[in-house]
Amino acid sequence: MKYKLIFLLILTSSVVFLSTLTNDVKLFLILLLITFLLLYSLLGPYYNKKIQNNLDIILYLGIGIFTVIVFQKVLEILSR
Amino acid sequence: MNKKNNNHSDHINIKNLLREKIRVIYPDIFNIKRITGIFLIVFGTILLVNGYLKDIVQFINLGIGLIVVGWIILIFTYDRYVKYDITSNIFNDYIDLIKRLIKGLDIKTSGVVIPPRENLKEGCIYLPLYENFKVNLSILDANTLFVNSDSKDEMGLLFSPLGKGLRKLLKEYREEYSLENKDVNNLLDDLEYLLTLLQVGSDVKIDIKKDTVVLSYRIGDNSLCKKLQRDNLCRKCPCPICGAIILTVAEFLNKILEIESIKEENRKVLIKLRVVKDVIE
Repeated sequence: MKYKLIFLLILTSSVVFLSTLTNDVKLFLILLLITFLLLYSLLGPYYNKKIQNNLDIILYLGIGIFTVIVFQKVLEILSR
Repeated sequence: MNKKNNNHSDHINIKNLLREKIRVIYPDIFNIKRITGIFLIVFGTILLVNGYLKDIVQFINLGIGLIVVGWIILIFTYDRYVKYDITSNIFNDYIDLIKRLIKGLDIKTSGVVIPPRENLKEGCIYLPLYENFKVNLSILDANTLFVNSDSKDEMGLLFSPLGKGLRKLLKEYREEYSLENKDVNNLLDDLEYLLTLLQVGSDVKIDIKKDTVVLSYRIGDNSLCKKLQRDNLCRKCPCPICGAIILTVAEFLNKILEIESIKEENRKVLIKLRVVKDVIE
C-alpha cells in the first residue's frame, strides 16, 4: 500500500507540473514516460506479478508512442 | 395473494437492510479506488477532447496524464484478485490432500455432517467406510482422524469441516445470530447474510421436509465447484461455502445430515441432504 501511494503521489504531482510547464504534447509524453520508467524501475519490484503485468501494458504502450515520436522526428529531419 | 406480496416485500426489505449493514461493516475500499480510477479516466478524456477542440496544449497534457493515473489506480485494484488466487491455490493443495486420502482408502460413501456437540465443538464431516453405516457419536472426537470400531459399520474418516472459519465470521459479524427462538426465515437470513458478507453468492432457498432438506443458492464464481465436481468430491467433502451452509443447517436442525448430492448448473448450486437416523449416542 505504501509503495503504491508513493508511486501515485509522485506520478500525479509530476503529471500536474509537466502538463503546465510543457507546451508540446510530444515532449510531455516523453517526460511522462521517463517519469513512469523511473518510478516503475524503483517501485515495480514491490508489486505483485499481476500488477506488474498490467503496468507492463502501459510501459509497452509508452515505448510504442515514443518510437512513433522518434520515427516522426527522423522523417522530419530527413525531409529537410 | 396479499400475504404473498407482503412476504415478498418483507424479504426485499430484509435483503436491503442486510446490504446496508454489510456496507457499514465492510467499507469496500476497492470500489472507492475503482470509482476514483474511472472518474479520473472520464475527466481526463473530457479535458483531452476539450483541449484538442480549443487547442489548449496544457489541457491535452493534463488529460493524458489523468488517463494514465486513472488507469494505474484501476490496475492497483487488481490486488484483490491476486489475494483470491493465492487463497484458492492454497485451498487447492488442501483439497488435493483430501482427494488422495479418499482415493487411497477407496471411500465411495457420501459425507455426513455432524453439528457441534460436546466432544466435537465445531462439528465435523464423517466419511463412513461402508454404505450401510451407523454413526457412533461416543467414539467420535475432534482429535480422531480414522474412526476405528469393533463394528465395521461404524468405521470411517473424520474431517474437520471446511467452512467452520466462515461460520465464525457469521457469528462475529451478525449480532442477531442465535440458535434460540429460530425459525426457517431466520436461518435463511443468516445464510443470505453469510453469502452477501463474503460476496460469494445470493438467493438462498431452503425446503425442509421430515427426512430431507433441499437447499439452493446462486454462486458468484463456480470455478471451484467445477474442480470439485470433476473430482467427484462435492458430496464427500464439500467446499467451505457449501460446508458452512450445510453445517449451519445441521446446527439449526440439530440433526446429523448425510449429503445426498451437490450439483452446480449455470451458477446455481443445489444441495440435497438426508437426515441420518442410525445414530448411537
